Amino acid sequence: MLTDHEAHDLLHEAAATIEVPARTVAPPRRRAWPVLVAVAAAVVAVAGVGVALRPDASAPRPRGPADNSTSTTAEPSLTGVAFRLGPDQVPSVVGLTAEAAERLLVRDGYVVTVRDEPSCGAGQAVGTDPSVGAIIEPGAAVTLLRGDGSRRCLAGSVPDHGLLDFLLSGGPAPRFADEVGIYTGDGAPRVVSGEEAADAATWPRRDVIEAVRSSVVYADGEFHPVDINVGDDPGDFSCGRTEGPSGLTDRGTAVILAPWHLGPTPLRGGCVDLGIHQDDDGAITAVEVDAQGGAFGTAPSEAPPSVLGNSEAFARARVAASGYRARFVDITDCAPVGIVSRMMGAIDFYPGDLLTFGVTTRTGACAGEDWVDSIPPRGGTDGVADSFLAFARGGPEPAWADEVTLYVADETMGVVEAPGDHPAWGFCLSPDELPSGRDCLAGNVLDVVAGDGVTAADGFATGPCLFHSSASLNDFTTPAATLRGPGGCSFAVEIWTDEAGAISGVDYLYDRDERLPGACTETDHVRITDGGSEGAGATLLHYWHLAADRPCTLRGYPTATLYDDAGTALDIPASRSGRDAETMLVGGDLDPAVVLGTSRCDTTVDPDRAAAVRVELPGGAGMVTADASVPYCPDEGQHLTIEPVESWQ
Amino acid sequence: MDFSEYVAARRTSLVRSAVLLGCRLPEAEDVVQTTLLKCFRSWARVQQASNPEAYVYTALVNTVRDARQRRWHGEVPTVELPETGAEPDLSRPIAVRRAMAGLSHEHREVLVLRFYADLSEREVCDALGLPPSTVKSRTARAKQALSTLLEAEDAH
Repeated sequence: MLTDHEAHDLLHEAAATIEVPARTVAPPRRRAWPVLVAVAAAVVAVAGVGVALRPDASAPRPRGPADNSTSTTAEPSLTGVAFRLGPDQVPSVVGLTAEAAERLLVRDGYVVTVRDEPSCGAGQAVGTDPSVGAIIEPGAAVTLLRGDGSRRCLAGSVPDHGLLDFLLSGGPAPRFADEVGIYTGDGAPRVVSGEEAADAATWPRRDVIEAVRSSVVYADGEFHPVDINVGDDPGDFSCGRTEGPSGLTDRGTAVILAPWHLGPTPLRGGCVDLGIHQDDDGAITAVEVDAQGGAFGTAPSEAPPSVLGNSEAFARARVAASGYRARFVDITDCAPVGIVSRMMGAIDFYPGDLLTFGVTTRTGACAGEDWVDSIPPRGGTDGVADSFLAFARGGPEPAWADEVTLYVADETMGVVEAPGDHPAWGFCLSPDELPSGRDCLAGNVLDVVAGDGVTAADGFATGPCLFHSSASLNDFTTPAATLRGPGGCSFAVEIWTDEAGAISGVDYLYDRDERLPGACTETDHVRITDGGSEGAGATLLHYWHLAADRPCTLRGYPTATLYDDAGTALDIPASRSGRDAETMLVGGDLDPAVVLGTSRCDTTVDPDRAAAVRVELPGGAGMVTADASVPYCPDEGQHLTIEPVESWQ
Repeated sequence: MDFSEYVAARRTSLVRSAVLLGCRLPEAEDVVQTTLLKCFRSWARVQQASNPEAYVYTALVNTVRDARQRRWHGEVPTVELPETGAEPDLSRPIAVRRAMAGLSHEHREVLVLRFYADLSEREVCDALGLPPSTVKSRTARAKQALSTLLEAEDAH
């Protein structure tokens, strides 16, 4: 049995072997910004829009196919988007009894008071104040509006509410006939006994109905609950289906859960259509359950990857790679400007589906508001992103600070002597990778940042890269602007400015797995010194030095071998270590070094001596040899280490 | 602690925790990203917590659970060996990772929270929504299970 101490050590040692790639994303800078109040928070008129059951003839209704024959096949309009609510938002109480709604709100940590509201559904929850979607703190007060039954329901409210209570609120089962047909598609119904029908588990995909119920529609800058529409004229409104299953001649009473803002067929799974058939005694004989798009009975695909917290461009690429399509709508949310902060209320996922994501373009109210001032404006400070981009494209120089520093992946490359000259930015891709007619700067900015296949005409996203893990560069300040390509923060150029707004630093960020700028392509670019430093435990360091005029990156990792006087390789393996064991940057603050470790064989120093250390560049680009002059010992466990260490002066 | 500072300091640990909880690396990064976004939304509350780490780990565990519900991951109880070749003392940590992959979700959760995130027993109770007695017994069983799997690894 392990002790606690042993378990602690085991887990920490195991975790240390998990290589976590650094994300090149910058933390937000603190900046004085007014706190914006979410339009959704409390301004929605509770009596009107927030009413859950809407059998009122004067209320807006979804348009049926008869109204608009193209709407069932056309791309959904963007008048509104269905979202799943986050845990920090007031939930939807649509379709619930007041009791069930109160339980739900109390469970979510709100302090609930109940107020009666004129409505046809006595005891039904008809809304909340603040209304659905409002972002509020747990423990805040929420008023639950309960229907008082004082208004007349226009269509079959009693059996329909009964079924909805049963399906949504866990209420008692309505009265079923001896046999009940459940139609979930165009095929034959599943016929169950009345007893089975009264068991909630019999009903398919309750989660679909629940998901629709808990969705909200974001339209016109506000959150709206999904409506439940009850009517007896199926031609009037539906989820878009015009004919019922062939086994049923009449349509029965139609109950539609749908965001009416979106028209009849807004989003897959965004509309649930219940057709309720009763016999002469009012017992339910058949129910059609149809989520829009035939989601019932069809196996959905794997959900797309989570892209929340990333840039729109990054999200687009990730979603596309997973076989879905993506579109993005601007929303006001509690999130930094420019990042994907919400996903639409999709329930099932089918290959090629068009998924909708909310990109925060305005920072709204949050449960905790003190971070709001940390959000840099989109587009960067004073248009610095645009001016730098224009310069890279051959335009006029932007304002430069007295000293302009170039960084690559957060490593300091040095001061750019004449920033107005494109070649001074150096650090080129290898020339054969540059499109004709472009110099290094344009190549880096336009190609590295924008990525393959993206032309300058596609433009760039600007905005912060949120979850930057590097602290080396900027002491947790953030750049004045970030240019990002489709790789999101994997390909980005960050621009720093001084207090006067002049550019003082530029950082090329790139993903280690992607194209690397400035590869060391020739042996001439590096040289290796003789062992120059003796570290702890008699460790000898042989540094590499940059011989070229600019920093460069080794694509891949070099190998190192010790040789004896006779030129025979000594059998000592090499290991790689350091921050990134796939690439090495040469030049800048870090230099690679071959570490000849002898610390572990102090007691058994072998009389032989290694005569030389030979380092082979990755990709067969050549090799560099230096005198080794180091005692080695052939004990098991001896090895060479190649690692980036602080530059040796 | 400022949110940015927290992310800079702790993101790697969180990703590693997600891996130990059974995620594959790219997914672990997604999970951590989502977790951080959740925490970002209520950072004031996180900071006020007696141990912000416990709050974040609670969110992490829940996010991992959500992700697990959303799809089946086809977990494979093997890991890629780092390309060192000559670090003999790496075999033990790798064996631990393999053993962790063989544990139940519940056992992984208590082990990661208690011994990697170093949360107190009380905090683990809060994070998992379990009474202290359950956390105690589950932790003991998880350690036993890990121990058994490690012995099997050794025998292998």
